[in-house]
Amino acid sequence: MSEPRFNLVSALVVDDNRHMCALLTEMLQAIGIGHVAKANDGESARDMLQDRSSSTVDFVIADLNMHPVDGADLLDWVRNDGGSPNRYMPVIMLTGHTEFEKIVRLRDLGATEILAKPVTVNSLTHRLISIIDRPRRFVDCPTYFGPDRRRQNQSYAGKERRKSEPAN
Amino acid sequence: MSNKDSRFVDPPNSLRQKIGGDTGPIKIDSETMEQAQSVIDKHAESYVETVQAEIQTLTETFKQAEDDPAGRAAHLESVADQVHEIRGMGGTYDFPLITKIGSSLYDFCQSAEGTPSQMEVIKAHIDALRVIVSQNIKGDGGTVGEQLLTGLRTAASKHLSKKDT
Repeated sequence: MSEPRFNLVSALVVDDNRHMCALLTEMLQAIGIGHVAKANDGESARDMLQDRSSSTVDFVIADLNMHPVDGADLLDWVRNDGGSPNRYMPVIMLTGHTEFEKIVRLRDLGATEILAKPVTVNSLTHRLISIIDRPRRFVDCPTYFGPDRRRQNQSYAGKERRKSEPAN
Repeated sequence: MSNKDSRFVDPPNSLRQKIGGDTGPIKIDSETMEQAQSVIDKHAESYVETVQAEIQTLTETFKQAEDDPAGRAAHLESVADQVHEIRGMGGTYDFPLITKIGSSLYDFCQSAEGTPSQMEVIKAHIDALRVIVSQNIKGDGGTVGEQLLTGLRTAASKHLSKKDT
């Protein structure tokens, strides 16, 4: 086990709910993250990420439901837009909607992790550790750019159609 | 991968590089976890007071919508914006009914045209939010909470597509 030194890490919290934005920011600071920037919607977040003069953001936590640019739009921009500063940026999507189809949509847009509301210390630190300890290789193909969506390597009784091993 | 247009990419783990240390699994110590929990506890203490003030503002905005039929659509947009703020944090502080009723009201406001019956539905939602906070109804609220939520959702569904004559 290693004791993390988070003081050099920079995060961006994106949420149009000012309470949640403040809560997440202060929780990350309590964990020791050195710099936590805040944005109140996806559009502001894009501007901040594009601002090369600001400190480099190492990971983003973004709420799904925001106006006018929501978290899914922001995620899509990070992964697929030419203006994205880092298409490999870990993006943790925050959502109160844990219906299967919504989670699948976020996965297919390239979310690194999903953080469900209500947020707890355990759920937040678990996602944080995951993006550091267990980063997934990226898949770059015509229809998808993002972390490998195959997270498990379970035994499968059907016809094997995978052409390569899943990411660790 | 067999498709020549598809490839795996192993991006550098810049987070790990910044954090330093060995490559073993990260462990966050219990003291740090407690500090993070104390942040939630601190926000929880002020949450009730904050949400009461927000519900009061919501009530005043709704009153403006009632008093101003010509500008009702804009006022109801404000109601939706304000309830979006309110609903977001309920679950975190063990007030899931605030989140659920807030979401019901938010969804309703997306399509409501401000007819008299729809205004009644909106008012019922706001009244319910106020009662939950004033009575400190945490968790799912038991049978009463379930009945309340079901009643509001049913009313919302019933009056959403019907224009008053």
